[in-house]
Amino acid sequence: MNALLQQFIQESREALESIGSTLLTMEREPGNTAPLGELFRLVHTLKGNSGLFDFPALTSVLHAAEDVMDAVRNGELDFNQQLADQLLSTADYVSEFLDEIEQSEQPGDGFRVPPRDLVDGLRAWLVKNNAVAAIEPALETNTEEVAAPAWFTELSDEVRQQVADSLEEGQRLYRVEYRPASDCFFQGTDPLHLVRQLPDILWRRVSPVESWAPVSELDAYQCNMRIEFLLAIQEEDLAEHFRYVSDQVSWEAVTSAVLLVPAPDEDNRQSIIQGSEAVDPLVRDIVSTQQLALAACLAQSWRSGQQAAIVRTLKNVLSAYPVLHEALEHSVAEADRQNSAAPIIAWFQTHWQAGADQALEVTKEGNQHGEAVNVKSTAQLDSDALASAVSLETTRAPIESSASRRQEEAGSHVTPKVLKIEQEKIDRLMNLIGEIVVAKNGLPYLAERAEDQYGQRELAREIKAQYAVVNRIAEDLQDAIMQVRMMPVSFVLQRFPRLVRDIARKLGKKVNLILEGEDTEADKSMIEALADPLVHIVRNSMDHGLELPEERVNAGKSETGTLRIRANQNADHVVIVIEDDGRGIDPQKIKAKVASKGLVEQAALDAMSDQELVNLVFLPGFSTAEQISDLSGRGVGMDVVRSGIEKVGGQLRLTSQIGKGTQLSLTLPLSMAVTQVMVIESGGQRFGIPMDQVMETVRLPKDSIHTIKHQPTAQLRGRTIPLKSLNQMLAVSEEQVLNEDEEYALMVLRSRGELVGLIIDDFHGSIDIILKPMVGILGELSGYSGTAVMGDGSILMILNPTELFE
Amino acid sequence: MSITFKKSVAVLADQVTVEEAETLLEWLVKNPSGKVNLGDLEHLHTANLQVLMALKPSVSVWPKNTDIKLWLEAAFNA
Repeated sequence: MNALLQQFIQESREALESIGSTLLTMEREPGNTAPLGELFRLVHTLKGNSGLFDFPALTSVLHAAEDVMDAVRNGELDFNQQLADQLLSTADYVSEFLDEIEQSEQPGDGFRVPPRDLVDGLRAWLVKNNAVAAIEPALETNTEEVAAPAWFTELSDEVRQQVADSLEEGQRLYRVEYRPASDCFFQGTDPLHLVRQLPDILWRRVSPVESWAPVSELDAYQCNMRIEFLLAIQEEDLAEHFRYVSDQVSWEAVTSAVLLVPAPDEDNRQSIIQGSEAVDPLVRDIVSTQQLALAACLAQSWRSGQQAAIVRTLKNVLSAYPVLHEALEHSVAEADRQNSAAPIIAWFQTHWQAGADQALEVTKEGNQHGEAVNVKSTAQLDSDALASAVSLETTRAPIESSASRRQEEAGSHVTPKVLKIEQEKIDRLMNLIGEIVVAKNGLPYLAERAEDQYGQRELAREIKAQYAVVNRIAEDLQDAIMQVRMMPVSFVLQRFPRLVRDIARKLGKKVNLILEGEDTEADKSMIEALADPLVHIVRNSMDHGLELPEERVNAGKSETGTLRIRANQNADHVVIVIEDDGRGIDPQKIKAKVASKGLVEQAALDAMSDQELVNLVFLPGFSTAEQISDLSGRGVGMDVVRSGIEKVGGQLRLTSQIGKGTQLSLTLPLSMAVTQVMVIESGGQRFGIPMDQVMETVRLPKDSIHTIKHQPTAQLRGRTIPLKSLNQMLAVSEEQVLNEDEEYALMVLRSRGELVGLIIDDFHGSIDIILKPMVGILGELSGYSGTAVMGDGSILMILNPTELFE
Repeated sequence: MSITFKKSVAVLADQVTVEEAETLLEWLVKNPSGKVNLGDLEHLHTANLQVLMALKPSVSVWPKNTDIKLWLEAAFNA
């Protein structure tokens, strides 16, 4: 994909995010007009950028949105929820459009024609407001409605009657102009055949684009035709029909307006100048830049690479302005024929000088004012430059001054120190750093060998000194790369205002979403792993937790429910709490549900505390909602949420009070890259256990183990802890080893909020490792979270106690 | 060949293909006063239409097919 397009997609995505959040802010605080200017600017920039590419559908949608925003900004239109809905769906369309071009670089079938309902919907806001509609430029996009164009005067009365009749019947009429590429015959296209396939043509005209060459020079295979016709058709069908030559065809809708207004007698040029008045200042700016550029390369022979680029840019930029575009096409064709750039220079002079002189009057708003003055002065510079275009020296000065001004402008509002890097590259860097960390761990072993095996104490000491240096650098490196990968939690949280708003409206609930601690940072992969579970949790809260307004009032609560998402950092963990003040979880209901589904035995249920009962919602196959709604309860339960969080080393805690609300807290490690593990030994093998699950390590006398209901347990600080033997769980037939005092090595681990004692053979201290998840067949093994390479080159299996205890 | 060249008339019939445009052009250049008979014409490739538009030979018989006739008239009147 070309870099410009890539950047366009990226920037547009960012703009869309800001647009979304600004819209929601405005909806929340109706009196606040401060974000309006910002919103207009965002839409305006988006539209301007889209004009650089051949995306007429995108440009026309954005243009409509821009006009609406402009009206709101000028106080001609009130901002309300319906308008916000409309603008949000526009944003959705743009987002889909971006997805489409990101995938295939070209807008696909569904994206060639502007979505009429969307554009009309937006325009309808302006029509309600006549003052704005009057300012509305008529020649903006190729689907715009035109008033009594020249071609209409050529129609016979009979055809006009037909047009009137068709329009009265509610048919959509289009005037299509098809200008086949000059080499189209060699591409197997038969333009006449193509247009003859279309039904119900009311009027047609076939004319040469340029006057015919003398008979002796005539080339039968150089297409020089323009086919125009008028027909009743659906726009989609039209786009479909011409999909292979879409760049050579343009059309406009014909409305009853053409029948009412008598044909204008002004010459064509007048209407073009009027058209250029309505041209976006940004486009105007681009055009004048191209004018300067063309002046600078006049000396080159016609259609040098640079000149071709200028023509291409002009064509793209003006594709939304049919009249100007047509005039440009004419001049380009003329230039091709004369083999000189003069016709294009003439085109600039006729269509842009006049327009630029009037730029001041046309511009309406304060902040565009500066821009317009700027353009005007540039245009005047150009005219001076062009007057003496023969001499290159004289033109160079204004070009340079305008170029440097441009640079200064750019410098003042771009943050130059931010570098955008693909994640792949960072990941590669991180893997390499991980390898350094592992490799440097080999040095202490080397020092040991130098001393023990070869008796080189001096050398051993030097190696250790070197190791200390390498170690420090490696740690700094690790730290630095972690910083790079850190992202604020707001990356996932920013989607929630929109999500909560949409769900609340769908369910008829009133919800106030409060986000706290959005700038808390965590590793990118953590943040990404968080996204789906969070969405699910929020949906659950909205669907099952928060009550309907009446129900809340009856319960003595305020009508509007509160959903709070709070993020904060706690030592080396990120804690995210999702809290609602809804109806809470009723342990007895859970109990009844679980019993009826037969997921847990009745006797076990009776013995459970309320908290334990609440935790049953995490059971696979559990769903409390009586009715399955389309929001939550699609068979993806809380068990999936929990396993998603646990997969990245996180923990989930659920607490709830009936009538008061529910609180879910997610605890995630800051980063997945480096894990601290405790190395233990059991059955003659070494294993690692993640340090954050280790509560304590104790030596347990053999005789203090008591068996209750076939379960060995021990009393530890007044608590009864169930004991498990690691050898037994891993199906190793050996007994756990006792030390000389007849004591077991016991590790107390926290697993899903419960303490469990794990009997092992021996402890070996803790180390930092780079955890590599197991892949392939091994990846399906439960009980292990991965492997790590030790400094001496051996492999350490890292246990996942939570999976092991299941 | 769907074009038959007679002494002063070229008869275009059925489907006139793109390859024939060159021949038609040559014939019309050689016979500036040559006429075209389009009576049985169903379709002609745009390249041929272009040749007819550029050299404007007189038409001795207009096509019976109304659709192609409409297009040809639109082209000849431009």
